[in-house]
Amino acid sequence: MIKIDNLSKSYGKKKVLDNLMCLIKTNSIYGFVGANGTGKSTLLRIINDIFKADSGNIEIDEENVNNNQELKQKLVFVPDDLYFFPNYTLKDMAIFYKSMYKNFDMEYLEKLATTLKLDMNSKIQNFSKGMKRQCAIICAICTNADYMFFDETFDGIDPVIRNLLKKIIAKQMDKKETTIIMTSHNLRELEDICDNLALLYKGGILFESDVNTLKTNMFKIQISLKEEFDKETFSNLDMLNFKKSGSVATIILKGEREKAEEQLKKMNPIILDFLPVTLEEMFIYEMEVLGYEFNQVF
Amino acid sequence: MSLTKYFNKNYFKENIKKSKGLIALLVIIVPLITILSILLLINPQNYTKVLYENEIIWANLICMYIIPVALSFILFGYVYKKSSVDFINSMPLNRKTIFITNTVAGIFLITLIQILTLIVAFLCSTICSTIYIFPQMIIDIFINMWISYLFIFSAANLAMTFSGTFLTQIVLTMLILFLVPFAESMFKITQIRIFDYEMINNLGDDTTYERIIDLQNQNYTLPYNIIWNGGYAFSNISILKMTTLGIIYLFLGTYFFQKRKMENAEESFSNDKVHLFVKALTLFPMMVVLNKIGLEGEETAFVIGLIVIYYFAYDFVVKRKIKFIKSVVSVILTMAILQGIVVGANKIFTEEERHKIKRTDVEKIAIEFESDNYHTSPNLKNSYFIDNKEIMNFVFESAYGAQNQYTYSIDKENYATNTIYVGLQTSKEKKYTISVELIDRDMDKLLELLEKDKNYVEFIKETYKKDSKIILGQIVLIGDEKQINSEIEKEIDNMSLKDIYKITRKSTSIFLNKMYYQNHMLKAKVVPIDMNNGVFKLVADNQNDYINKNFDKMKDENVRTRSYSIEYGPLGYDEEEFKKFGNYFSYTSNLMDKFIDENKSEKIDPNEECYAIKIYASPYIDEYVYLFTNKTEEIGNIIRKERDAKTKNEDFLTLKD
Repeated sequence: MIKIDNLSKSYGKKKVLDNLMCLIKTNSIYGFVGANGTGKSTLLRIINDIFKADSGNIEIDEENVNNNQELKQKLVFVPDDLYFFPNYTLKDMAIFYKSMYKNFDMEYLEKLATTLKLDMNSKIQNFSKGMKRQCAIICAICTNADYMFFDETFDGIDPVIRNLLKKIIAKQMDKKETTIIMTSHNLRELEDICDNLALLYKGGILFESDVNTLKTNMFKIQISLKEEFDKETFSNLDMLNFKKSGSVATIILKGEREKAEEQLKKMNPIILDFLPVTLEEMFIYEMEVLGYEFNQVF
Repeated sequence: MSLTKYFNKNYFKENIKKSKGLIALLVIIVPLITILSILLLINPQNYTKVLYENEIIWANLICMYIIPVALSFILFGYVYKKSSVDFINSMPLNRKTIFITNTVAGIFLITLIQILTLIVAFLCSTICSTIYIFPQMIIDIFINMWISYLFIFSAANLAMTFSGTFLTQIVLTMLILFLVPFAESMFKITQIRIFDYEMINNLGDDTTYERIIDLQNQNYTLPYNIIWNGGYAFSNISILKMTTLGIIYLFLGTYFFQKRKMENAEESFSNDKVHLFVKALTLFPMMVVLNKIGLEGEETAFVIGLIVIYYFAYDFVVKRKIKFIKSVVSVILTMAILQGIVVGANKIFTEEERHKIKRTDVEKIAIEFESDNYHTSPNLKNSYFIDNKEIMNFVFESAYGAQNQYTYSIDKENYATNTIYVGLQTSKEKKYTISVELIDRDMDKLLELLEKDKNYVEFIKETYKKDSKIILGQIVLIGDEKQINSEIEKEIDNMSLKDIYKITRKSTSIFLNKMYYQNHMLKAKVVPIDMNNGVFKLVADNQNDYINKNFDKMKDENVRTRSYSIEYGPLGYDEEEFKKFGNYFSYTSNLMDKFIDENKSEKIDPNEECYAIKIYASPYIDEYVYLFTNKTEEIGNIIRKERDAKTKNEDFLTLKD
């Protein structure tokens, strides 16, 4: 478990993280989303003891991360801006990782490289941007670290490989009870893989939720009644958003779907359709409740 | 305690591996240049030369400023790039481990460089019979260079902990290495100037001496000393300073590296205040120099203009951006503050250093003769110090007398031609040297006084008894060194101090240098070859033997090897003879060739009149050998014939007996 307590960090006069609090449960995939410059990368760097926080505390498995070499064996970080030693091949890099991480699995790396069609003996500097990221990700996975951090995880990777990598990451999580922490400025990139999502804004977490709870507790309906109706008609429901166009209204509701459906059916609707809600929409509506506009945050 | 907390073997290996090409280049460049420069000194003839320190050390000295900083960059350069900072610092290594592992890697590589250079020098000295390097000198070079490289490396590492770019690291390294000694030496200039122009002004208790060198001020760290006065001699104090500072820098580096703001990468410093402070420090040497030069009016305005431009340039190069108003304000403020510091410091140091060495402060003196300092500057390291008041008073008073009454006399008898170096040890345990010119009469008196001090006489005699290389010109006399040394020792044992001094000043003979390496210095005692018949016979036969074996080869090598000059009879100065043949110089003479060919196996009789034909052994003027001969009549005939031919413009090569 990662416990982040009142974490603050400034670059000169610019405050990037401001008393940030967060709890990341073990064996989950946790996503940080937010616009550029909201402190996602800084947060990951502080967790990985690359940067020092100005104040606050981070504990991983109840141990302080600061200058803790043994604890860092449990962490692996793939940054946004990748670095490989000059003239190194994937094999050379894997050897380096193996020399650093006690549990590095070379066989699995070779297998993954074959799956992703990455030549182990070619110089990484000659690879495309996406291939370089694949190299970094599979090296990180093969460390078998307990906590894996991926910054802008799938940046530059085509959709097919992206899905493949998501499966590999998910498999790793199942296999080793790994905790994966990802960041992205694109919510859609993380929605089908993360268990938890947190939205970073102005140095803090604006909104955090379990994706499954969000998905099961929020639904969108289109409804039309015989009589005239307005927002007040549905005041007994936990409504996040109401829009009426002509005689048809689109409503976002929270709570148990069966219970809401039962209540709506009692109104004898002419039309009652349940529609899928994207994660982005869920975020938009949740933020509206908090008084923010989505465009303001992203 | 787990050592892996401090040193990570795998990271060490990988760090070397990732830059193996560059590291290999840095490791081999010094040994390679050293071996090449030694090989270039190997001559095609068979004679042996002693190599001096500068002939072996120069590549090492130049690389001293480059290699340690380059190694620091190779090992720690990752901190200057954001992507590599993320990569390396995310690895399961804490910062202390990274710093110590990289430092150990640097120490390992520097040691490797110096060991290779040491081996190269030893091998060259052992394998090549035509060069000789004093083994202790090679060891001294190794220690001196090794410590200096490590010192610069640790300073560069400390500079890295504050820097966000390589350029700022270089600026900070220079400041760490040079700022303090520079300020110190610049303030001391005032002191040296005072003494330079002050004559010995009275006989009272506050007598001061000209050309005083404070020996303790010569012990800067080697990297600074080379720049300041070109000195690279081994100095225990310099070694101690560098070792102590190196260790302090290492600890400071470890501490600050753990505190380092890694987000600083690609920026000059973590914040503007540090940038401003470092920039101000770079201005400090300029302000000191400006104050020393003492500019006026328009010149000052011009220089201030240059400093403002420098400030812009510094910002542009280091930060890649210029803030005009901020720069102008900061430069003016900085200059004002620094001016205050410099003026204040000048006052404090000058007042303190303006003291005169009073005679009553001098507790002991050491006396060395000029001839003892062959190939070395005056240095009273490990000299014999005398506390005899009579000798001390005599030296002070005769020095004063010589200075004021005789130095500029045109009267030959009263002209001060005897230079002695006098070391002064004051009650504060400080040591200074002065050079004193004495007239012959005073010198004789001084020698008589010194003769009474048996320990001093023994000390002087001992210096002639060192295991030495016997050198004539630049060439080592191989084979007979032990016997020549023993002959000289025997003779010295029977000589008075005055006789010993006189032989070094004999102006009518060929001199040998008894060269030895002692107290980290190359020293030589000058001895005339006609010191006694035994020495003369040994040297003459040794030289004739060499010519006998090598003359054919020498003739083939180049034209210069066939030029000769005739030295007057070494075993007796005959003025008439000298007038006849002295300074005779002959090129490509077939008569002389023939004479040498016919007489090269001659064993000379030291009791008979003797000529020495100087034969140049190489294109270098100081590389020559002698053929000694008792056949003075034949030489006289050759010279007469050549002189006749010269007046008739005949070619010497066509001359016949």
